[in-house]
Amino acid sequence: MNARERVLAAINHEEPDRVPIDLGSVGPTGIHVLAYERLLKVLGIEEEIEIWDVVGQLAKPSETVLELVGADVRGIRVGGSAYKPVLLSATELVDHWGTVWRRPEGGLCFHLAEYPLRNATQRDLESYPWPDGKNPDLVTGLAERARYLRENTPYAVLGEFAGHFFERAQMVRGFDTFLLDLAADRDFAEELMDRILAVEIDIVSAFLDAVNPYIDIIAFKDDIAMQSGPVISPQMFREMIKPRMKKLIEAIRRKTQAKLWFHSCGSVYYAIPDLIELGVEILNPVQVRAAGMDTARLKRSFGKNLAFWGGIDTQHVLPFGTPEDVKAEVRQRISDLAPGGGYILASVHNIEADVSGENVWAMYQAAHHYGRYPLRQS
Amino acid sequence: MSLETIYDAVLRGDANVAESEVKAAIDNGTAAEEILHQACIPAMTEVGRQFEIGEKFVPEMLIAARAMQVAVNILKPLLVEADIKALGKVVIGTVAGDLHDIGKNLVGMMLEGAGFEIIDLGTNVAPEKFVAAVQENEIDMVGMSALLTTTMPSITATIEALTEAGVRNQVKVIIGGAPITQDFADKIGADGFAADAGSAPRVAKALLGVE
Repeated sequence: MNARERVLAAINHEEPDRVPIDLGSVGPTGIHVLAYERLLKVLGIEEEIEIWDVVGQLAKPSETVLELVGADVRGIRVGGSAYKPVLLSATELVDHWGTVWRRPEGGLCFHLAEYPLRNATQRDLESYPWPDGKNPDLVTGLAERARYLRENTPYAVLGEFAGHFFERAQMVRGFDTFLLDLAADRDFAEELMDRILAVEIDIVSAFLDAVNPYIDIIAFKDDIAMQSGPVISPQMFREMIKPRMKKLIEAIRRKTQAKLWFHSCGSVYYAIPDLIELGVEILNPVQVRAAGMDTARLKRSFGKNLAFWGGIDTQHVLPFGTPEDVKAEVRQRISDLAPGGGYILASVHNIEADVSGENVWAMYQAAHHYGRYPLRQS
Repeated sequence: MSLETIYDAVLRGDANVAESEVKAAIDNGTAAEEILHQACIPAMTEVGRQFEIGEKFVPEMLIAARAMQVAVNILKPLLVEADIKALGKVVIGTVAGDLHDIGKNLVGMMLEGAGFEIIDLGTNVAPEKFVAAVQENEIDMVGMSALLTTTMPSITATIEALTEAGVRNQVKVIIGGAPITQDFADKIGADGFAADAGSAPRVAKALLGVE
């Protein structure tokens, strides 16, 4: 069984030879450059580190490291040169939507800082210079890369685009301003999301035209929850977000039958039946410390219809635990999520700068130890 | 015009009605303190309660806070004139290295809505800035927020800075943010922890022994 067969079996709710592993095939399973440096030390490897994601300061794991940890997925992200953030200084950059990000002095990554549509009126939305989702630079070289991965490597291939019209609306308008819009000026909020959605549909259509025959998984993201629960009411989610997600997914399905992977941080339990109805097949990152995200309950309630991708706690265990704690965490998540397949192991969102190399390595060692099928009874 | 109408307007987040009704109430001779304590604050307390039990969410909280703000802006000069004191003075900020502010802003709004006076130091606030704010104002409570595990140590550093400056015992310290737990609060010697903006006023009032 090769890596691709392993991943697809898991997604299809069959038990492969072992629980598949992901590291950095997609933004939210990445590793911060400082944690990556420590991992290299533990592994006794010296290499030049490439920064793959400037905003999050994520390292691009090398093939050597990916093979050592047993990573089963390789990713392709749409964007290319057209979507590279423009550095204004060492501590400030502007993204392709016009949002300014800053890195505080001594800070470990960039944070949202200025929102271009903070004071916009509905009329301003017409004249705003929206990104061109049909810019051919977005997909330069991606078809060749996807084809190479598919034809010359054993790995599952994941295609990643943003897709997040709800989150993006907050990133161009300001979180509080947009969330207030939803209650105070629904027309404005809907037009803003529609304009973003139109760009995202153009992007994913062009992306899939380039990579479709070669990808196994198509991944998109939108944060619809926070630590303690939904950001907006489930009713508002169903009225304003879900129909737009449906449009996005229909656009995807016009181009590919690749497995549909969706990421939302936080306590998303409330929305899972809707996500399944929309055709989502894989949920990431399974933020286990958020309210209601108990992994045994998730598997019991939704495990027949949904595969889980993530689950190893980054809010407590990886940064503050010992390697033994990390192993216990891995064992627990595998025991909860992996029976019958349906689980791809990864950290809950990025492995951040405060995680030791020993803990990162312990995660993958434990994944191989406890993740072999048939699973041991725990 | 009635206090009930004002209460409803704030609860629903109707800033226009809140504004006109507060003005009408004042014209009618209702004391600013009465409007604040019998209509506006109870409305925001109800918003917090509904938020905690999952009946209101962030947009509804924000729109209510906006209506509250409109009312308070009208009432403020009158409250000052009548020498009505706030429940307490709270300095809040997102700690050093962290620029996330929505959670901190929501907590600020809800504390203000409960009758506290808020000094908001913004984001990426160095420990010495918290210390200076405590030294320069009559502060009852320091509220700190962190979204990242990597900036949680800044909370600890700020508490240490307050201790070193000899002002730790003058204030209560309350903390919050996605990765923060009661356990962490206990471990680093914070006085209180609030899981969300809905519960923050309750925790703050209990710590300061005010109602």
